[in-house]
Amino acid sequence: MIADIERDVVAIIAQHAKVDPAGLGRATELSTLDLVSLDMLEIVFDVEEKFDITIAYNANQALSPEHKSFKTVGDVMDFVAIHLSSKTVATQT
Amino acid sequence: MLAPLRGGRSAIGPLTIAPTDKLAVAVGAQVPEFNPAAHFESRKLAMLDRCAQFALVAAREAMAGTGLDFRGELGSRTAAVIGSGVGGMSTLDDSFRRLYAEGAKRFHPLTIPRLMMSAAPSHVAMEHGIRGPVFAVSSACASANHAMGLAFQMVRAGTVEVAVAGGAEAALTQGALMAWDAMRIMAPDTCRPFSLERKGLVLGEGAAMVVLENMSRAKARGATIIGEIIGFGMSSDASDIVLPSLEGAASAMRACLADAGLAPEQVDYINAHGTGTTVNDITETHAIREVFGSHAERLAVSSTKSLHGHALGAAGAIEMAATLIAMRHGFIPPTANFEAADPQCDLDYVPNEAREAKMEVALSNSFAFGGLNAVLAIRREQ
Repeated sequence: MIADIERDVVAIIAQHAKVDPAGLGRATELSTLDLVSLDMLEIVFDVEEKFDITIAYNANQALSPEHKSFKTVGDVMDFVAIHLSSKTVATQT
Repeated sequence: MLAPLRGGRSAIGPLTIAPTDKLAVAVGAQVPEFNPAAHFESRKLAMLDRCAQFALVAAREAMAGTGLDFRGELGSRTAAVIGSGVGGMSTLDDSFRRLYAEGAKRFHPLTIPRLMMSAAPSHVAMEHGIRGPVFAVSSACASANHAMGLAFQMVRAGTVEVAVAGGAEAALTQGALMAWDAMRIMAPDTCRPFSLERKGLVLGEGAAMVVLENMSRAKARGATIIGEIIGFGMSSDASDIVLPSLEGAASAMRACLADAGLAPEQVDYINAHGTGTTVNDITETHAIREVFGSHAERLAVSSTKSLHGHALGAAGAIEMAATLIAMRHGFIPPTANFEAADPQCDLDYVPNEAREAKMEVALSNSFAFGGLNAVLAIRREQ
């Protein structure tokens, strides 16, 4: 399950950054990729669509230096994993 | 408009005009208690989207007391130019929901004339007998400034004697709100332009119109003169569909000053585009500094979007009305909802409280998505 998430997140980011997915890892910083602001919006949208989750992402705050979420590829993977597990829990209870 | 403008009372609140259950952001500045039946008889109402309704009501208000009658010869020498970002959005949204969600088998026969972008100027022309140049202008959030600017140029050039110009927007529908939500630039709380804690823009709706005529003509017939448009500047960033450019904004302000024959030092106040997004407010601040140099320290700059929200294609017209009202009544309208200052936005934003001041010359900025910029210069009636 985690491996699937990691593979899908990497595929989405690689597609927007126009790089080989093999070159992306958990530690890859998004700021090192050739992504403009609209790419981030589309990445968030693609991730939401792929995993059927909602990400509270405000582009205004994402641009401020103190906003640390989604700094690396791993941050996106972790966010998805946490949301999917909480969704599972919510279904069981 | 005078009392809330002077009192810094914001019209932003919970949206009730459309379902908000699917929205991350459920605040806006909707026109309160608007009863179409109080303004239009039922046969006419069937032809009117909310956008055209707003345009017609605003045009009536602008025309009242002007003493102008377009039914005679003057009508063929009069223009109506009205800006709108999306036109009849309610009609489009309602019709498509009926088709896709409710399985409707047919549309209302007046669907097309209701939703078309040019419905507002057409209806204003029909109601007042305006038979000269009549058309809609669309440049997203700069639509109204482009519309008033073109009307100003036509009057100045002598192409027409009179022009009715402004903007109208009514796009607070569920579909349109969902689309704005998806851009991730909407503030969940309120609009705080230039303030450190700003979280984005808040949508509004409405319309405003001005009636323009040559100064000598207006004086000769003893018209009540509210103010004078003295310059218009346009530019295009030609760079990004959503991110504004400093150079594009600066270029439009410079073009406006040049057109008006103004030195930067002659400007007292700028009604800023001031959307409350991180990017706009920093870029606009830097552009003002670049154009005005050391005079930027003495300029008052405020965003009345903090009061009336961002009315998109009507924004420039509502901001023109705000600037004219403030000018006439001797105060500078505030930037409401202002909290801590942002180190990157370091001008005098007239935070939270209107300032008693006699302003002679003001600029009104509109910088739209797609990099379309339109700036008007206004002078107090002499």
